[in-house]
Amino acid sequence: MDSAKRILHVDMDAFFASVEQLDDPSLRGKPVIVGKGDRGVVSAASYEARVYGVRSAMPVVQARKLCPQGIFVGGRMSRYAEVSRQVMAVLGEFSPLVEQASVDEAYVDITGTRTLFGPPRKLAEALQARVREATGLSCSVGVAPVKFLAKIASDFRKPSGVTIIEPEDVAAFLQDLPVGKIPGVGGKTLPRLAQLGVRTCGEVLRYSRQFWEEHLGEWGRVLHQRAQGLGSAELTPHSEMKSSSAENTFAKDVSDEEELKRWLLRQSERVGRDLRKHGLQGRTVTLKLKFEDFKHITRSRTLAEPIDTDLEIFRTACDLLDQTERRKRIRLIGVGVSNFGGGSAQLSLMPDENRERLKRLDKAVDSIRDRHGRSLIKRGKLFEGDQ
Amino acid sequence: MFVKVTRTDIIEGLQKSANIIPAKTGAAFLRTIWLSAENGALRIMSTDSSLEFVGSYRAEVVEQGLCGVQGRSFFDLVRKLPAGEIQLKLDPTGQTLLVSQAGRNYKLPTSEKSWFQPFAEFPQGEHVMWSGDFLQELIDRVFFCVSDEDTMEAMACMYMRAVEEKVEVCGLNGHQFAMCGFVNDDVRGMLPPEGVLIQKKYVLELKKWLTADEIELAISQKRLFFRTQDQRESFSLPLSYFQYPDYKSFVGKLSTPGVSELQAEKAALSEALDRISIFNTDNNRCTYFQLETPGQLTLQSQGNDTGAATESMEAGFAGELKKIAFPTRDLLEILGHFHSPKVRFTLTGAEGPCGITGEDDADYLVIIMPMKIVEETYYSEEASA
Repeated sequence: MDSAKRILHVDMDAFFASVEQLDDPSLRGKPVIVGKGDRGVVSAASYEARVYGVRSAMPVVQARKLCPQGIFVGGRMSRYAEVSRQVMAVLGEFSPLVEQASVDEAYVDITGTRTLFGPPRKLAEALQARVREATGLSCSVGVAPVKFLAKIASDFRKPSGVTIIEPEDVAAFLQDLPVGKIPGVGGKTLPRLAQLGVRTCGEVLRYSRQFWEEHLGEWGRVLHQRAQGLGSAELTPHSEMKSSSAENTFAKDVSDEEELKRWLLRQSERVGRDLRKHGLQGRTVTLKLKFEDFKHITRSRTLAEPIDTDLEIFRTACDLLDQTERRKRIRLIGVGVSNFGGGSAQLSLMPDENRERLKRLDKAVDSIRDRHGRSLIKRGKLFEGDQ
Repeated sequence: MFVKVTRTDIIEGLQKSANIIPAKTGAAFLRTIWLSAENGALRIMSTDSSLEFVGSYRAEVVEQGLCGVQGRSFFDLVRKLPAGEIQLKLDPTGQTLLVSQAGRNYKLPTSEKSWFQPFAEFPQGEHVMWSGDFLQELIDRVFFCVSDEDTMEAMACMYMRAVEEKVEVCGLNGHQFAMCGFVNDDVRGMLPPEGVLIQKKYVLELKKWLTADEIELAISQKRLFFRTQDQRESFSLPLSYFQYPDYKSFVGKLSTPGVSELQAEKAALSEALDRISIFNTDNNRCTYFQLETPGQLTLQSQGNDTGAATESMEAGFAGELKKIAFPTRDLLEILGHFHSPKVRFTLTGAEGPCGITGEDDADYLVIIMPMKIVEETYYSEEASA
C-alpha cells in the first residue's frame, strides 16, 4: 500500500475572468480583463488577454496600453464567492481534508485515496471533469508530496493542466526549476541569489544550510529545505476568517486629511458590519496606505479589548493615520481588524459607558440597512464628502 | 576651543549624554553633543529637544570655546580610545574638532554654532535632596502599570502628587493601577497642587540617569530638574499638563462594605501561577480563582489545545465571592513587585476592581481588574424528547 503523502493543489484558470465569460457568452473567446478605472489593478485576465502580456496585479492603465481592445469589467466578488463555494463542494467529494487557500485555490490531501479513485493522475482528471461539470470552469491541478510543490506543479501546465510529482521524482523536478518558482522567492531575494550565481533550486544546494542562514536568516533555512523538496504537508481544513478589511483606490491621489478620514469611516462601517455579521470582535486594527509612488505601508495597533463597533474601528484607524508621516499623496487607503478571539477579556477600571451606546447604535443601523438597503441611512460626516 | 581631559573623567557623562540624542533619525542639531570649555571644566550638553543633559567635568582649558560634534561618532571614538589624556582642539576655521591622544589623531566635522540653544538652568534657590535609589524603587513599583498610550481610561504618564501628609506616585493603564505612597515633607512642599505628570518615555530615560546616590530635585513651571549632589551633572525633562484620571473612584470601592478578602502566600501563589500560565493561550490568558472551599484556594486554567491545570493551596478567605478570573501573566508581574511573604486581595466582586496589598509593603497598592468570565460550551447535546 502506498502510504506516502499526496497533496493536490487546485488552481482555477483565470478564475474571475472565466466566471465573467461563463456568465456572459458574448465575452467568450475575447480578451477579458477584470479591473476597472484608471487607478486600479488587474484582478484577473482571460487567456486571450494574457497573449498581450496582461497579467494579474498589473495597473489597469498598463493593461489598457498592452491590450487596447481588451474588455474591462468590474469585479463581482459575491458571484466569484458563490462559484468558489461550488468548487470547494466538489473538492470535498474527493477527500474530507480540503484547505481553501484563497477564493480560487485549494489544497486537498488525497493520501490513501488510490483504492477509491485510482492513481493521482486519474483522480486529478476526474476532479477536473467534476469541477467543469459543476461550474463550467476549468482548473489546473498539481500533485506532490508537500504543499508548496503541489502549488508549483499546478502552475506548470496551465490552463487545464495536470502535473504529478512522485516522491522519487522530486529531486529531478527541482534540479533545473528556476528558484523564483519557490513561493516567497521574489523581488528582494532573487537579485541576491543571482549575485551568488544561484538561478535554479539545484544550485541552491551548492551551499550549506548554515551558509543560507548566515545570508538570509531564518528564510535561508526555509529556502534550503524547499530546494530539497521539504515543506509542510499539513492541511488546515475550514480555515476560519482571520481578518476583515476594506480598502479603496482613489480616482485621484489624495492628501486632504478630512477626505482620507471620510474614506476610513466608510471602510470602518463595512468592516464593523462584517464583524458583527460573523459574530466576531478583533483586538488589532490595521491601517494600510499606498502612496503615489506605489510604496505601501501598514500600521497596526492592538487594543486591550476586542472591538466590533464602527466608531471604535474608525477612531483607532484615525489615530494610526494621525501618527503616520505622510509626505506623499495617498493612492489607496484601507482598514482591517484581526486578532479575533472569542475568549475572555480583561475588564476596565473605568468602564466606557459610551461603548454600550455605540453597540446599540450599530445594531439599530444594521437592522435598518438589512431591511431597507445600505443607502437609506448614512452618517452625517459622510454627506460632506458626497456634496 | 582647546581643552585637555582624561578619558576616565568624561566617559560616563559622555555616555549619558549620548543616550539622549536620537541614534539615527532626527534633525542634525539634535544628534549633536555640545562641548564647552570654560572655568577649568569641559561641559558636555545634549538634548532631544525635550530632555536635557548637562555634565561638567574636570579639564585643563587652554582656550575657552564652544563646539558641537556628531554625538554618536564622538562618543564611539572616546569609548574606543584607551585610558589617558585626550586633547580636543577646534581648528581656526571652526569647521573641525581635532581629537588627539598620543599618536592618534582624528578630525570630526563640527555642527553649525548657531544651532546651539541655551540649556535650561537648574533653578537657583529652592531644591530638595532626595535619594536616587528610592526614586528608582518608586519608578519600578508603578512604571509597569503606566499605559503605553494615552486613552480615555489611561495615561502614558507617571503621576506624582501631594495628598495630605503624603506624596502618591501612580501608574494607570486602564486595567491595572499601581500607587506608592511615601512621606517626605520637602518633596511634598515642592509639588504643585495639581501634581506633576512625567511622560513614560522620559521616566525611562530618567531611570537610566539615576544612580543610588543622593540627588537634588527642583521643579520649575514647565520642567522637572535633577542634579547630582556634587552639582556636576543635571538632567531635566518637560512636565505634561493633562487631567489625570480620578483614581479615587475605583480605589474607594476597596473600602466599601461587603468586599471579600483573600490572603495567600506570595511565593506559593507565584509558583503556581507560573506553572498554570503554561496552559494559557492567546485567547484564554487567565487563571480562575475558585473560592468555595473554606481555607483553600483552587487555581484553574484550560485551553482547547494546551490541556488543563488545577492547583489547590491553603489560603485565608472571608466573603461571598465564589469565582474570579485574573490575567495570569499580569498577576504574576504584580506579585513580583511585593516584598511581603503574604499578600492580601481585596475583592469587590467578580467583575469589580481587586486591590492587592502586603504587610511589609507599606503604602503600596496595586489594583487589577479581573477578566470577564465567559462560560464557553465546547459540546452540547440536544435533550431527547
